[in-house]
Amino acid sequence: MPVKEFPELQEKAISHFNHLGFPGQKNEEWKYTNISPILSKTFSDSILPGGITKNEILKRFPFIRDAIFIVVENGRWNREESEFKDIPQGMKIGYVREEKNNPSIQKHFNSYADVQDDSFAALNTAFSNDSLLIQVLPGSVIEKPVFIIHVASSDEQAIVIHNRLLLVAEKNSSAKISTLFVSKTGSAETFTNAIHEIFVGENAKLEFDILQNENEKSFHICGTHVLQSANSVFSINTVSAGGKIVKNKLHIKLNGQNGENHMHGLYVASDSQLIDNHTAVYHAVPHCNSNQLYKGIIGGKAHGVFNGKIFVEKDAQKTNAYQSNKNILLSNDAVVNAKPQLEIFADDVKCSHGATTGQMDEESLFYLRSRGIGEENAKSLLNIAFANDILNAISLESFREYLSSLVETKLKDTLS
Amino acid sequence: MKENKFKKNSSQALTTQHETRMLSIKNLKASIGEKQILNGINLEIKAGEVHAIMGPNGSGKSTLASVLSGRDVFDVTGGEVLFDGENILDLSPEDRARKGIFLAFQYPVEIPGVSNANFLKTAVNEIRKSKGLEPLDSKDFLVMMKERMKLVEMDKAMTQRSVNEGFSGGEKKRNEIFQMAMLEPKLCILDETDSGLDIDALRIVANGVNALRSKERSFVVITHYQRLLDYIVPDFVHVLYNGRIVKSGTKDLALELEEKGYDWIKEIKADAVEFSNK
Amino acid sequence: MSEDLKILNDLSQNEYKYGFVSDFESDNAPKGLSEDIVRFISLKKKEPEWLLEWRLKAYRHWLSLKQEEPTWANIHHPKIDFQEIIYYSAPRPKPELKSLDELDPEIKATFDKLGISLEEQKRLSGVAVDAVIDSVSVKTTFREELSKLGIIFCSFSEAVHDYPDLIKKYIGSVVPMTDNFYAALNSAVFSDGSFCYIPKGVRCPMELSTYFRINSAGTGQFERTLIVADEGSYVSYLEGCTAPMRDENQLHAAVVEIYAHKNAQVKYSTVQNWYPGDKNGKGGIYNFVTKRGIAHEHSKISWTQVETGSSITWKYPSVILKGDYSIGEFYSVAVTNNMQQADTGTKMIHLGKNTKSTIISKGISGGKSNNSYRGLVKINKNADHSRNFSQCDSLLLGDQCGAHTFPYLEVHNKSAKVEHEATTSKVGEDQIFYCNQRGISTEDAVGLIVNGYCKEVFNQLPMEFAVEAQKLLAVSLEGSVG
Repeated sequence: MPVKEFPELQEKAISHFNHLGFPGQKNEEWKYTNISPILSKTFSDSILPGGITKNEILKRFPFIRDAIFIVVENGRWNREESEFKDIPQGMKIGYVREEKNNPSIQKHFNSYADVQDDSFAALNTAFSNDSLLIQVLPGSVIEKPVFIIHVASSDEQAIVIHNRLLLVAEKNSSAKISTLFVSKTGSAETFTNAIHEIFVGENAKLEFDILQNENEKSFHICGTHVLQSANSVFSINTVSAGGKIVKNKLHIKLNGQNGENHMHGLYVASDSQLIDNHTAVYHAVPHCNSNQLYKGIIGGKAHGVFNGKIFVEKDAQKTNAYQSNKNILLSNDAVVNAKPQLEIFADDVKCSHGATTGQMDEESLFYLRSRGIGEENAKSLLNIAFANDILNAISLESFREYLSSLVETKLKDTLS
Repeated sequence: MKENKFKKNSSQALTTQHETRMLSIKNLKASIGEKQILNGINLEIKAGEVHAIMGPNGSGKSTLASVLSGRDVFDVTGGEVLFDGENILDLSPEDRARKGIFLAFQYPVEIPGVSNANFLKTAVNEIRKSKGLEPLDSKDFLVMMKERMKLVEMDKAMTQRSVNEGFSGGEKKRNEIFQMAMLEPKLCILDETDSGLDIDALRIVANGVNALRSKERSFVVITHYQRLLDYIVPDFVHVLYNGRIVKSGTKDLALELEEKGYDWIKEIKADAVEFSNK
Repeated sequence: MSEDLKILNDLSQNEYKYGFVSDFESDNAPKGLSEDIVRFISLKKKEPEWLLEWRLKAYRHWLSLKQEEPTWANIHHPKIDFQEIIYYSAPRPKPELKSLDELDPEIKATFDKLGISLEEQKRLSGVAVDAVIDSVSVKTTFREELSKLGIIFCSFSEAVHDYPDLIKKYIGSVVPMTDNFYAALNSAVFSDGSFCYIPKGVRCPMELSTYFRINSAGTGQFERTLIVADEGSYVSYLEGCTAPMRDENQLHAAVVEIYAHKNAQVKYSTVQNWYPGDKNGKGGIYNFVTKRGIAHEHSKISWTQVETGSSITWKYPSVILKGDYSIGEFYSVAVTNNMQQADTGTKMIHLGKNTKSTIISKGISGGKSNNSYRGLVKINKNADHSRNFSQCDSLLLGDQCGAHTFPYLEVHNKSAKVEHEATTSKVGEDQIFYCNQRGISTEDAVGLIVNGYCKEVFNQLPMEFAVEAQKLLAVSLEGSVG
């Protein structure tokens, strides 16, 4: 075992985990997601470098060529193969442990993740050992995109990887950070257990994108915990395509007035994949807006889960909260379980949610076919149009195009 | 004020005088939050008269209508409003309505699920109750409704629909005049009833209003455009600017405004302010 | 909040007007629950052996649940001591009645106060009434007229004696005794209720109605209603409930089963006005009810409920859409005020092809109450071309209350179409002002607006019931805006 980064926190997290154990399907948060396939495996935590190179990375993800990127292999930052020499002024990239004596960083670390209530958050806290820190300093506007490329790789034995990120966007700052989870070509089973803690300072503007595209053998559990200050704008876009079981938990607390957020999610599942998105927005103060749009395209024997919660606390008057979940089922063995949930304790609010599940619009399909487009093509066009609603929220054009073609390829494979 | 009331009750002569003077607005000032909107309005309206109030956007026209009907988002910071000799500023909106003040809203609200007919029946009977009258039974009410519907060319289906829900702009305004006909108020305030109406709808609305004109009923017609006054001919025209009436005249004043625009008024106003500062 | 709303808040709490206690002698079982009590109830009712066995089986199952009530609902209450409840309380038997005139005058007076004078009902409205006080069905009107059509409408206990085959066939066929904690309890100790059978092709010419009332102190009410609509028949069934004001909480755990054969239609309407407890949450009925229907080919089951009473409501009238082309509907208005808690909704289980369900739920919360909608729409794998539409709206009156929406949508078929919408809103101040300007007081304006908000649901109720529901709504909302 490597030396612990934060022995005290980590000891505590272990005792939380011992108390919590793994969740079963009787736990409402895991009602539709059975994790026994994960638990039945024996994972090793002996992390070996996978030996990926910068060239390989650039070849696979050409859109990061002009960006700053950090390569994290099996939970360990691979500095050699990363590209972070030209970090703009006003941005700090490093380890959380290097800021042990910096109270303005430490007050955020391990403060937002629900270590006491969530087994996987507890495990992550206990075993992650290279907690990354990205800090955008007050007033800094970072134009250059930043990517974190997480590569999971295992030669034979299944391994478990704990990734951890602390992202602090200080007052009046602005930045775009994207994080990619992928497998090394030919990798064996991996289990990624990631935690993102994000603080969005007063009047700060932050976009955070997540792509989950690990191989078909991998398991992925990801918790993203966000605290938003007054007048801040936070956008998060989550695209889930790969992985055998993927479970996302996104919790955002609007803690200062006039905060605004946009949560977009796209999940495209095929074969026997299970992709589960749980979101929760807490409106703690008045005059905040939250918007959620999650879309799923489910084929094969795959299973899509969406559970979105909006909480409006008693004092959070003049809240506008909107949530929508739309699903398309491509096969009769595909399943969608949706639970859009509102819990409202203030009266002067506008909250609404909607959820639909069905096939693609027959009329649109007919329209396209009547113009001479073949059925397969028409379907694929409509599915991509459906998905693009989400992808359009991603502001980096080259990244968006990459995702669009990734989704297109996956849909074609699923439909054929 | 108490003294006034006493005089009113004790002196026959004074009462007669009050009867002809239906509405007296004296140095009325109102604000919303920190912002002062009405800066001292003076206006006298006698029974049977039609007064038009014109003015550029933001001059306080709609605020005046809201304050008269008792909307509590505005704070009255000074002055008084006598209606039939009684200061109404402390009365609730429904009590003012029951005394005969009717506001045709600029933006009539929608009340889903409540039919026009049910809504009006409740209103008519509450007003009757306040006057010590028996409530109308369903039959009498329907007869009355049928008769008054003709005034604004409403069809029966409209009375069965929810209050203003899914109504077009023109239908909403017609519905306001229809309600006016049903509630038989003494003082009718029309708040930009003409805005957004095409010429046909405007004619229907104006015809409805004209049919309701009588010696006992007065009108305050708030409008931005002279066009409406071709149809509802006023006895007096007042120009409101910066929360004050800066010019009053006959219907010719409306024509003059149409021709010269409001900038002309703004110049007069500038002088007036200077004058009052001295 | 505007001044008007504050005034509304100051309005005194309306007295629960059904809170009288009727003073007729009851025949009570001792407190507590045991096999002996189950035997006592069965014996009292002179039941056949098979039914006693059925009860005992349910009791044993309930015991195996170790007195652990379900905890998933969004409700909170102190643990119920099931040994402190009297499980059987009957008005003391009088000689067999030959006509309504012989009914105990006290009981008759009770009904008169409830506004359901049997005489009245019989003469004027043509509604057939079965009245259940505490646990025992007191009188069923109109029985003869109905029997000419082959319609059976009687108390559950009578049906056990007179139509044992029907009861044996259908009891527990929709809500098995093991279905849930309260259903198991009911199956063990149910004392009476209503039974209704509509034969093939018969359209029941009048509304059938049951009024339930809890009268005695310390008792629970555990009635069972069973409605069987044979092929191609139609029936509309109404249910109303009241209870006296008491400081202690009383338990009501009922079971309603509807069996709709091919082409049958059943419409079940409830106006639930059990005592809601006082302003501070003292007393009131715990209303834990299991209601479910099974719909065969081309049949339709429609639930309409107006829930204004009870300190706690836990209730999910559901439809199993078993046959192809069957239809399930759920229309609900749930009002909570003061300290009331409601967790109510429905389950629509689509098994057959081309099945269709509609859910319209209107929750209104005032005071310090909590109102939850909880619903499940499940489309099974073989339920091709099934449709569901759900609309769940919440209206909040004041900032001390809570509105919650927990819809579960489980879709296992690609040709299905499931749509769910929900909104949360308040009574607009501009709407109130508009009404004020037309001379309508704030209190009446709130009533008017809320009634308008519930209209889609009230429209589903039979006329007389709709009027009652509107009045009830106005009463429950008094003093709710703050």
